[in-house]
Amino acid sequence: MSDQDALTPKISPSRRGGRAGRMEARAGQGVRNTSASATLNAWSLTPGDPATRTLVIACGALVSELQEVIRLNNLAHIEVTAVPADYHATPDKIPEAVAVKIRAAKQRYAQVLVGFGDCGTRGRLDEILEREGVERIEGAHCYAFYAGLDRFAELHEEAAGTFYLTDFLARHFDKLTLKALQLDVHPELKSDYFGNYTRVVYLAQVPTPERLDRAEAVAAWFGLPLVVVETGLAGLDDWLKQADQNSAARAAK
Amino acid sequence: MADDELDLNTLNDEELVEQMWDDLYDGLGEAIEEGVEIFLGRGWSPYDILTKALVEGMRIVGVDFRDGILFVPEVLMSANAMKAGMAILRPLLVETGAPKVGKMVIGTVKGDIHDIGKNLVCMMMEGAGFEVIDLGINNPVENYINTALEQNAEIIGMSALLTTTMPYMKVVIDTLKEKGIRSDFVVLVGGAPLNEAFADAIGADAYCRDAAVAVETAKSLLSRRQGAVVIGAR
Repeated sequence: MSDQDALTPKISPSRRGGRAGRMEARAGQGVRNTSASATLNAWSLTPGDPATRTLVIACGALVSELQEVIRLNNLAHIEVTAVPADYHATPDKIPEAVAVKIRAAKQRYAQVLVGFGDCGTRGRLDEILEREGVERIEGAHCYAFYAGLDRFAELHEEAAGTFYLTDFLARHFDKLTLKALQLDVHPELKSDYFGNYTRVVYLAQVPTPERLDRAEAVAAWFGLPLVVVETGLAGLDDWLKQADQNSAARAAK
Repeated sequence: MADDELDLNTLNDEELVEQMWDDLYDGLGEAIEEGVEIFLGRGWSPYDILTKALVEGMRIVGVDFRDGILFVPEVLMSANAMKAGMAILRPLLVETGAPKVGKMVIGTVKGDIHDIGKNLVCMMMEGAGFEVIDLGINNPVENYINTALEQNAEIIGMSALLTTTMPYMKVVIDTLKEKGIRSDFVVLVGGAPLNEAFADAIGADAYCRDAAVAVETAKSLLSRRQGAVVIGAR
């Protein structure tokens, strides 16, 4: 779908029977399977001996970059499993989804790390991680550390109304922003959501011409200036190696 | 169910109120405008239309948002539909001298530009009879305190969406204390990352989980304060 397509209303507002009509329509709708068994089925495809390995339970928005860091550093003992990135639209789902994966992982992996920030969980993710003795990425957002927390704070100080993109968020802007906020069918809500934003900052991990074009298209959709901050993968690289060492040290005690 | 051809004029008062609840739920601004005009034509007071049709309809929306049945986009559609009705009723409410419950200064705190929740609170407070002075976004402490004093407001409301900006609420409350005027105001706080424990820790009077709770809490705390003033005067 092109950006322009995403702006085109697909459904005209119409009477849907109010609350009663909506309840009827939603009856029987499926629920996404986030159970441990579903996760374990996926893991059974993973080669190697999990008993000596580390598992990173990460936001889907970080998985490609984590795998790249693992590849570049030859950290073959580390594997990654994803929690759907679109849970950011309903962050109350994140702590339980992570907890389910941690409990299952502890039976199969020597160490577990979590690739999330607080990500809107209001400290509930931290409560679980503290109980489980598992480390997460520092900071409020799982993408803040790409720039480094100090630099990220500076960016926020420069303009509180900043919409942030990463390689992943630029690539999946249609699904994670337009569709998740129903802006594809209700473009008139754009100013309700983003009327106070003043710029788009693209935290670029591996900026290719295509990705830069994509970020520019997103900024054009907002009608806002684009600032590109090349971060590379150093922040993620540092966290993963340090967290893995910390976890191993805790396990050795 | 598609019944866009429904003629609202054919409904009796009770049916029309219920249809307006449904139309608010479905976010149909034009239908809400039409319903408001029909009720005005039938001689209903603006205050009755506001409270019985619009506020009650938004209360239903709020309950289903709280329970995870509706999500933010749908609530925004409903809020915009209510705004359309309010635009007709607001000048009429002023003319007819609808009862005023109290006065509130409200804004999103410094460093934060998110205002969806705050705007919903503004609308529901206004619908409940409060005079609302909306400071907008990114407010330093002076904005809250100076405006509250100038406007003789009873309530200060603060909103934040970010965990990095919510601590600023304590700055405002501590400044009220330093100036010796903390007890002159009811301080309400809200926003996605907050909870009651945070509100207690920073010295707010209450945490409001959603717009409907904000209205009930504001009414309850104001009536308690007014009771305390009467007792103190004896």
